[in-house]
Amino acid sequence: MEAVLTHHLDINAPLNLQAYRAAGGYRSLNAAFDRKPEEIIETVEAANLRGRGGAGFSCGLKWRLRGADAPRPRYLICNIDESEPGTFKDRHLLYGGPHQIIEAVIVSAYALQAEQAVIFVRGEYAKGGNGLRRALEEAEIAGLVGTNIGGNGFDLQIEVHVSGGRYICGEETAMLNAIEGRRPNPRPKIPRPSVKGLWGYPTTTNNVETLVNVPHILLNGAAWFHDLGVNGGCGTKLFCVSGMVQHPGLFELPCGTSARELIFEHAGGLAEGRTLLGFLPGGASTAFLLPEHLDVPMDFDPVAKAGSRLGTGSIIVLDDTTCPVQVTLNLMRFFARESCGFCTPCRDGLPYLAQILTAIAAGEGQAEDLALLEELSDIIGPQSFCAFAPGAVTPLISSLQGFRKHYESHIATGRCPFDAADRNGA
Amino acid sequence: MGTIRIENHEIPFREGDNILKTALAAGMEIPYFCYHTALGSLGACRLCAVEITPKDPGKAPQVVMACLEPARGGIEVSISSAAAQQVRQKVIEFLMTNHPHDCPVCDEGGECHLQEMTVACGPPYRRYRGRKRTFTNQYLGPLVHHEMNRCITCYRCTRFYQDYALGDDLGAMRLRNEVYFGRFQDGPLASPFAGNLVEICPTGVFTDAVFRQHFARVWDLKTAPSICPHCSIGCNTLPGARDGMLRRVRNRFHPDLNRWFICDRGRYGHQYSEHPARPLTSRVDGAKVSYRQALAAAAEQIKAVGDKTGGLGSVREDLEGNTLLRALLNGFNGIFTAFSDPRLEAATITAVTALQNTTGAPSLAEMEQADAALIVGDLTAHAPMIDLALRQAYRSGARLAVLHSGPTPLARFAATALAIPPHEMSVCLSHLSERAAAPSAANSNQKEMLANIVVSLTASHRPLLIGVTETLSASQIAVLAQLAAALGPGARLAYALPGANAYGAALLSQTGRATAMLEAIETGHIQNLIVAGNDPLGDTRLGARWRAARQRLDSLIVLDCVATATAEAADILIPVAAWAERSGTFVNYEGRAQGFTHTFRRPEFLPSTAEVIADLARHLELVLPDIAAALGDTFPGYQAPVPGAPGSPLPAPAIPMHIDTTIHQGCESHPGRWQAALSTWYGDDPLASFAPALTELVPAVAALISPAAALNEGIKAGERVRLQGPAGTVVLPVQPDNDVAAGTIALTRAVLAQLGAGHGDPLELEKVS
Amino acid sequence: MKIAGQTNKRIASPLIRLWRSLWVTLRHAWAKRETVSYPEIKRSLPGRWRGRIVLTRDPDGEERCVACYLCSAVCPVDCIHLQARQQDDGRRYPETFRIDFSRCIFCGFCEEACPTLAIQLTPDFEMCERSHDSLVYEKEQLLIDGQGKHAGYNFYRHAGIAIFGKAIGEGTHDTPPVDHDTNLP
Repeated sequence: MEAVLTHHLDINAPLNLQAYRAAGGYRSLNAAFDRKPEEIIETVEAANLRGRGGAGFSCGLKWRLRGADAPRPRYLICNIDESEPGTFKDRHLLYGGPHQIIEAVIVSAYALQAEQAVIFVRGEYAKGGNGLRRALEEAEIAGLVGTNIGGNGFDLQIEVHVSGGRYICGEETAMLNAIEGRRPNPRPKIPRPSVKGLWGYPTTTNNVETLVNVPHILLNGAAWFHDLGVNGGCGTKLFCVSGMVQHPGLFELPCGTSARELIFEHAGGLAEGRTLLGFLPGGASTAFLLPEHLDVPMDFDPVAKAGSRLGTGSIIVLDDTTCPVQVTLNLMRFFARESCGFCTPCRDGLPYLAQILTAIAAGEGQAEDLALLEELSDIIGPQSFCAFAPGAVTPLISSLQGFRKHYESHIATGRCPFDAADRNGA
Repeated sequence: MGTIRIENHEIPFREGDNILKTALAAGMEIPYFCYHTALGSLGACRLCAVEITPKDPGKAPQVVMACLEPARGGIEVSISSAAAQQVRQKVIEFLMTNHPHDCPVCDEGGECHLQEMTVACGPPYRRYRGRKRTFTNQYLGPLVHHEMNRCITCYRCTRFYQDYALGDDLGAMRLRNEVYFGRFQDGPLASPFAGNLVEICPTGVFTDAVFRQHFARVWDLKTAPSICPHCSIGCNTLPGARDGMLRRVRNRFHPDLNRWFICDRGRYGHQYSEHPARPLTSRVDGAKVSYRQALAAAAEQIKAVGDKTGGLGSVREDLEGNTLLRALLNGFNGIFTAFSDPRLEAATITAVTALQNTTGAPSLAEMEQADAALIVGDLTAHAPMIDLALRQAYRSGARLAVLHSGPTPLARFAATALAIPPHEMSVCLSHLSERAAAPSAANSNQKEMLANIVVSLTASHRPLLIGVTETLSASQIAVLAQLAAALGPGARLAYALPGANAYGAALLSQTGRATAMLEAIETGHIQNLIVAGNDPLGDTRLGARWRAARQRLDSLIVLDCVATATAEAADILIPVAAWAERSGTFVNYEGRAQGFTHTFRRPEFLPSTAEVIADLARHLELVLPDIAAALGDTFPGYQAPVPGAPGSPLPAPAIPMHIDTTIHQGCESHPGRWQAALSTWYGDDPLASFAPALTELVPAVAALISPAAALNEGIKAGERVRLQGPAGTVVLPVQPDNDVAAGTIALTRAVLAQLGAGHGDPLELEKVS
Repeated sequence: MKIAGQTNKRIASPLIRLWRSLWVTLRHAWAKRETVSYPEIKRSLPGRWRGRIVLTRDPDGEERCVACYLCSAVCPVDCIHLQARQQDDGRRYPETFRIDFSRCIFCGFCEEACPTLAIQLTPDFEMCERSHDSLVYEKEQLLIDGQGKHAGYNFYRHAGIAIFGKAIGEGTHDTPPVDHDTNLP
């Protein structure tokens, strides 16, 4: 299978402009400028390119809904604020191929007719941000970014903004506040960012993995993109596999590849003698899937039907020596720590959940605790201000369903049953 | 417009309003924390959960936040539904996980919004078994106490401090359940409105540090509707007293004036009435006597000299006191005025007359609607709440222009801020007035900026002109009025007057009376002087002259509630009730007469000035009309305003006023290189200068000059200079300040009094080697 | 009970009842008295008997009262008057604390309301005075050296505020204070 997005990546020595062009880079600009922006949007929508940042929304549809007559200036934001536990695909794209990102931003901005673009880089990826800035400088000198790109009358200014830190900046409206120099609290859903976003102007935000597919779709067509996938999936997907597997890493595979293939063929399977307990299919804020879901195609709709979310496509694998309570506690502590602190259910509710899970994991759980966890999660999820808290309680709710007997065992025996077993440093 | 069904009532709503605002306006209670009428909706606390049921049966009911949900047709809103109650209960439970066990030692208890919401919505028992996160506290100055453990992260404090009051030294730090509201570092809060944090915080994070020193629960406080006595705006307040001592002052809602906020001077200036040096016993020639004995002594002195008696009222004395004193003097054909400085007398009377001839000054609420404003003088120090109103106009996009001689915080928000030396102010204003009438080409940088100001004013729909009376001459005030007239019917005019009752006092005075009184004393035609609430011996410009004149008096009879220089020098001192200890009327800068009621009585017997004058008249066997009759004579149709009501316009005086065009132009031309400018701060007025918490914040005393002037003179910051004025010399360190005009030295009131110079008077400056 | 013949009933039953009642009365003439010869013999009262009010101290010897005003608020007859004050370290205490025992009805509401277990009613009623003035107790007459009926409770250990000897974060349910000058986890 052709590793469309990753074959030229080199974390230690990313291709400079000259080498990237020699390898075929920036060809999509001609393909883009030969077409009308609406056509590009149509093609992207026809290709069924789904957002790879977590929500899985159709990219072309999102672009089309902004409207061709949105007031100017228009902004495109490329989201490289990758902070989801288990996710490292955007890091590879950033460190390994900055020019691919710039090419993607240029053609996407052209499709949206946006004259300003901001590439928002996670604070911990500052070195990658510097590399991106160097690549951007090369592109500007070569006339690929700036005024009248390629003589086509298209102006585009790109700014690389390295985040001040913390997970919440990855939320679309919080990111707008962060770029504007404010505290990165989310904004109310209305007005939508596509109407009033950055500095009050129409803004479209896409994940970097989503955007880097666009040049290839432009060059090869929507049908080509469909054919790349399997089991109904479209395009390739960068899967991050981590957890209790022999060979964790980044794998570019057809979208729709089954979890079984991912875990046991490409990531080397489990350690000798271990069995699968369950796995997170899409990063920390998705629901656990169980061994019975191994043959579910890792694609947006099939995973949703199975009761979870593909999200970022980051699979975290648990085996039978992994305490699911400890894992859930680990995740909940992360979310409680990363809450921005704006709304009460998330800010004060997530630490409450973490406290109960801590007690259960330490063997101090009480009989009512499981019902209490569910009772609190039922409010924390729906009644918060943004999508962070619903994402935070999703693994908890699913682990209470899928691994309930483990919880009950902790409470009944007053200890973690996995303590004596061989735990790989949980 | 339409109606929305809330809890089975049809409630009218305005298009664009949210459900919470609509329900609150109709008197329905929906629990909330982070919403505030002045600050708008935020959606952070999640307490205002209501269940909306679409009228379309195909759609499911859902719980939403009332503050973010637009009121509209097609839905029914339930506040009491079980689902909504569940959400509210959880929200309170979450907030309580970290809330400290502080209620018994917390000042907010008894008037704590969190207590009320917890009892109303929250679970009765605690099942959280974890520990509480804690915060250290910051020292935020002598006015506001900080206790961060109690925070429920509603963000009201930063929204008020940064978004509403445009301050920048208090904000939110950190994240998650460790969000910290504090100052970038320990130190007094810089905003003149920081005290409002005390009322806006729904828990006890920010509490009144002055009240804390003599704390009492709200249910034990005696309160009464009152009016702030510290400046001419007349904000409505609610003083609280207990055991014969005034404990605190809070805001009292007035729909046109202050609404929810007051300034720190109004909130903390009340300490003057508890000052240890406050005169509480009558004195005759220094010996303590009873009130009756003092009255008798005063009456004796007055009878001895017959009609050679003068009466000096005050801009901070209430309408009743001033009117009765004037009536008393009329009985002797004596001179009465409320001003010890002829220049201030002329300026204030001119201002009031100008206002009488217009539609009247705009209220604070109306000022917030201005789309352009011209401010002449330092508004923040002389009328802080007008400054706050203009900040709201600025937030809505108004273009402010400020002409100032010394530092003024409002310059930061001005589209055009010009530092004008006092002696050039007349020229400037005349220029503006001419330009407004007949635009022509500019021919200098400053003139171009002035032209821009005029353009901005003429292009706006609701221009506002405000002058600070204390730093303007009568002719400058008249020119400002002309400018307002030239701008057409949409323009509004207002003046920050020099005292709580300056408007009323001006209507009782006449231009030239202050000079006449001084001259009469100096030539022996006045041998007795009754001073009520005034401090002529402490006057900045004429203090020396008054002190000399005092030597010529047979007796100086002083009625006051603070230990001023004049009170200290009195032959007969009769202490009177402070404003919270008596009832009276203040007329504010709009001409709005507002009544205040006594909140409490001290254990000492303290009559009001009006009562003393009435008693004095009885001792003199003079027939004096009672207060109501006296007021009715002076202001035909006068009806005493009811305390607690919004106040009513003062009827026009029986003797109409007109602007005297022959007023002297004292400060127009000046010899010498330097002139003084009055530079005071928001916490300064004759009463508040006796409030220890406020005086702790007095800016360091220095001679402020422009950096260019410092460079010219070869003076560096901190180097000492000797200033020479008509009455004295002062040595001070120099402080360069960008907001000071050329050739101007900005000085505090106290320093000016030592020098014997007023705003605009010439000074000499030399370096001290 | 068997009823005797009609004529006998009319005469005998009332007589029997009469003597029976008289016997009950006479029996009590020789019964043990409840009355004790006070003050030679003093009855021991239960610990919760509502008598004289005291202000107690905490296990560390400091006065418990934090001058929260709850007792004076709940008092049905307004017999409690106090004025709060802070020490330099922020510890609240009553500058004055006054109970007018000629008004006090010894209902015990103040003890119930007190959140720090400071004010307590003791089983002491020997408080007679000859004038009302002497029945107004100031703090010095109310404050005792011990912990009263409830040992072991120090309110400040549970509250959030700091006092001398207990910094912020050292309470029984607290964690050490947050460093708010950083955004790091």
